[in-house]
Amino acid sequence: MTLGQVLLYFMLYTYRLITVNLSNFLTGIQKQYLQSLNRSSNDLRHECSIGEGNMGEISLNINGKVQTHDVGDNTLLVDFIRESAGLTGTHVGCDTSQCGACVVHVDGVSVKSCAMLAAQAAGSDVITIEGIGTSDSLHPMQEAFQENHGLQCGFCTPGMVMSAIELVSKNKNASEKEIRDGLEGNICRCTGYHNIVKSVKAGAEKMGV
Amino acid sequence: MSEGIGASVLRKEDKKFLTGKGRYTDDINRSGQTHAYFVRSDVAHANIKSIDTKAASAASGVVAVYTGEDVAADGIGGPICGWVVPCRDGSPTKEPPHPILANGKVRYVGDHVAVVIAETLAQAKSAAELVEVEFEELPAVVDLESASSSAEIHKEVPDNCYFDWELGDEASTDKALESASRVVKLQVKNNRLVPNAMEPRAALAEYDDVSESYTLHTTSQNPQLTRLVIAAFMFQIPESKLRVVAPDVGGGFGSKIYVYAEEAVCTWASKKINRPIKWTADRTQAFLSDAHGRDHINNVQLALDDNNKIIGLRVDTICNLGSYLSAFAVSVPTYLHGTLLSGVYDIPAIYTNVKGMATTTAPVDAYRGAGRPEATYLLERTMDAAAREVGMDPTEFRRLNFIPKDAFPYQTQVALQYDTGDYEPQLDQAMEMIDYKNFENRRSEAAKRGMYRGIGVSTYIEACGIAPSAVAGALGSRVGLYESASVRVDPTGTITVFTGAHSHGQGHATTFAQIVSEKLGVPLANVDLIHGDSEKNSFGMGTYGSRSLAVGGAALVKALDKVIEKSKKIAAHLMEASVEDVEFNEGKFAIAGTDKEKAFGEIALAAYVPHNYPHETLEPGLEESAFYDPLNFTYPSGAHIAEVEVDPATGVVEVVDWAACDDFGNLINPMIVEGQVHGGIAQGIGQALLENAHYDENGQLLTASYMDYCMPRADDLPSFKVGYTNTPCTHNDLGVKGCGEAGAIASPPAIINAVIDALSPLGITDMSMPATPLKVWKAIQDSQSVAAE
Repeated sequence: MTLGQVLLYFMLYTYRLITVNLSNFLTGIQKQYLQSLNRSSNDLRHECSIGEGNMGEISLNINGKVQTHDVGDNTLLVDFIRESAGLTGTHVGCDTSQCGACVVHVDGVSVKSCAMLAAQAAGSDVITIEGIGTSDSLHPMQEAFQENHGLQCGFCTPGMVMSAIELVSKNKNASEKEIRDGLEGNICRCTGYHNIVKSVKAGAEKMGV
Repeated sequence: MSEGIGASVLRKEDKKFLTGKGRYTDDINRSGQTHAYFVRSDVAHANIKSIDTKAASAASGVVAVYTGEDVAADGIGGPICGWVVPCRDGSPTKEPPHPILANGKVRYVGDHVAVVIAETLAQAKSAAELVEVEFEELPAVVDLESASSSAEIHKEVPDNCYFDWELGDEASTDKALESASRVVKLQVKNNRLVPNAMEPRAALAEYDDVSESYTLHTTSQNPQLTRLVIAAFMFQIPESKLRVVAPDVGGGFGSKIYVYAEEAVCTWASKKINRPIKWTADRTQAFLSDAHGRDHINNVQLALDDNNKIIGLRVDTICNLGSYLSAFAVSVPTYLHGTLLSGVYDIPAIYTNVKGMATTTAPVDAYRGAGRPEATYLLERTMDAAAREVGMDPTEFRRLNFIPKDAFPYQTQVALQYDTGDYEPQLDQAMEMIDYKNFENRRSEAAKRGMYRGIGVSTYIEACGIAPSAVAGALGSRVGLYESASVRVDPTGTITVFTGAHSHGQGHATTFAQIVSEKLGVPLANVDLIHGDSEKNSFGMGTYGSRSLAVGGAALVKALDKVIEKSKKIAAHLMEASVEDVEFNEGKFAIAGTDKEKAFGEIALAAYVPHNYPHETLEPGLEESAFYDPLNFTYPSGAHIAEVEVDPATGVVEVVDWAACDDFGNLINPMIVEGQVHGGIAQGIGQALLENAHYDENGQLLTASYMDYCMPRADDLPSFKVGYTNTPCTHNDLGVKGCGEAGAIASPPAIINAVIDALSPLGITDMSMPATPLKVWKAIQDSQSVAAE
């Protein structure tokens, strides 16, 4: 990737964040101002987006398999994973990169895949929840989540497990407080986190990191 | 290790979720699928002057654009109200129409104005921007207390009051208040919340023009009920022509009980365009249009005699039900709230009046606990206020007023009869767990660090296992609240259970299998659970109100009893004995007094290979069904104690310890029960400290994303100490009471009582929810400026 490409992707990413988040931040006064200009927030979104062009084919190595698909210039990594690669274990819970249901590993680093363009990940190695273990041979962290009842509805679980793996890989003997701080970017509405914290501790021991 | 009742076996459903193989609605795609995007009102209250869809219809990829006129032209009705109550003046609940696409008027920000259906979601979104809507704005109605004198929202709802309802004996209660030696008065507000299941609502609708039938996959807690409402009431088509499937559902907490506009519109439109249509909410759409929860203002008067015994309670409530009446909106502040006002206390006179108001905000309905958290909050706040006024320890004041254990069954003054309970041991155990007696030492130690430490108690009761149909019907429900179960035994003895309940995190596949394992003596691995598909499951009422086990599990026991009964006949035949002599134990049918026995698997095989079978008296096959209608509500209760530290420099409240002791009757899987308690407490702490759905005066929802609505995160919460007492339910075969809502019901007042206790050295006696750092910091500053004066 050339420096120019990197800059372009960064601009696209920033524009997307602005356009996605704009409507959430509008207060009544801002809306009135926009209305006075006879423009809606949607108009602004339209103007801010740099076309809806096709980036062409990109290739990502997802869970050890090269996936090559056409993407748009605004295709998010999570949409590439879910829609193009058909790996629906990675979830979308908030669209504002707050909830962490979409966490995957890109080149070994945990990433909220709703906050990254697919094109930014071109050429990268991506690991999703489907890539860390199978039902016959669970990853130690997956095992720990089952053994400690660290999941209920299962929707946040893939992102939670992917975040947990990175967390304990970086901090072998994470304390309860460090685990809680480390999972701050992953929201679970079911478990109250008590058993997730237990799971992560147990998972760290199992992983022997 | 036993896999039956009482064993903390690991969940059967976990592996699919842990490996990314869960199948939620948005994970499902169909060939030829289109995508729907809804044009929503961005104003709170307006007449629609015109809608111009020409440009949108001509936009790239657009398949169709529909408005309320199209819906009305096809005679499609809106979602119905499932529960109504009579008003004090004898008039009925006011039920205004609720069109699935706005017809002439919008009534909240997020109201559905039009739907754009296109080849891709991006095209649908882009085209939605081209729909021109001209509004004639009307005044927003946001403030609950002035709603009755504000702009008319529905012509069918005078004074914006859906209902004005009462329960209890007003005369005797007012007499108690007049004769009391002390009346404790308190106004509390129950803040408005958004349920926020992590999976946003979604729908995938298809129409098959050969069979002339629809299939709807949707995020529902009760797909069979969704099918009934859409088919019979909204579309007026034969019920059999609609299949509703709720596959894996990522949490509900009440918000996925109801039929919403989006799934109905997609289903209707799938026939019009004869292609599958998918819709998935983004989080902001969910904030705007999911049914919200709570939003009460309660004025409480508690009458005490000379001995500090409660002699009367009056509660006047106004509650915000939003722009339209959601399906169970009416029941939440009335029969799920007013009936709980006796709590765990012996109160000889109770009266409550509830006014359900319309505002130009999103509809409000059940959220985890639904009415019972509001009742518990006002009561437990008042108990602490009263204890403070009379100078008693809050635990001692509660003990003095507990319903004594020899008083059961106990008839309250607000309609319910509690079958069992024993409240002092719960409080004792919770106090022991948190080391209540040494709390003052911890307070002093914290004070040395400059922190204010407090402890807060909440002793609650809830009515769940919803509900005896006859009682619910008498109280205004338009549906029965039984549950169904079928048990299909295969020739080799493996078993499939079909339930009308729906699991969206509760672990039914495990818990229900444990019941089967216990009753039939078969391995857990041999039992599978099917739920959530109207084509496979019998009609059932779904999952909410902590009812799945107490009602659905009880139905399963009834069906299993029938399987055992028939198996005994088969065993008697095979072993040439009288059926009366067949005993069934641990998976074996034996003839009393002999060494003859047959394993359950042998019986199953004989049922399906009926050679030499007495066909005149016994049918082949082994498959039984039951419907179970409970005889009463169940009454879980408990004591929760919170310990907090307040940092006066920042106003941050840290929950440092938590002890919960609950009575859920018998436990099937303690691991799962404990998880339910944790999750409930976390949602209660969220309500008490973090969460608030805030509309500005123009009716704009300012908290419509996770950047503005503060969800509890791992670093906001402590670990929890959880314990149990057990007085088994007397009227279901499992002796279970239900555990799903307890934590959310018990916890908010425990936290706020703890915060007030922490700040009591500053003279602070009140704190509203959520107790945010800003609010707490301001209260501390104000108290210090008062002290300085």
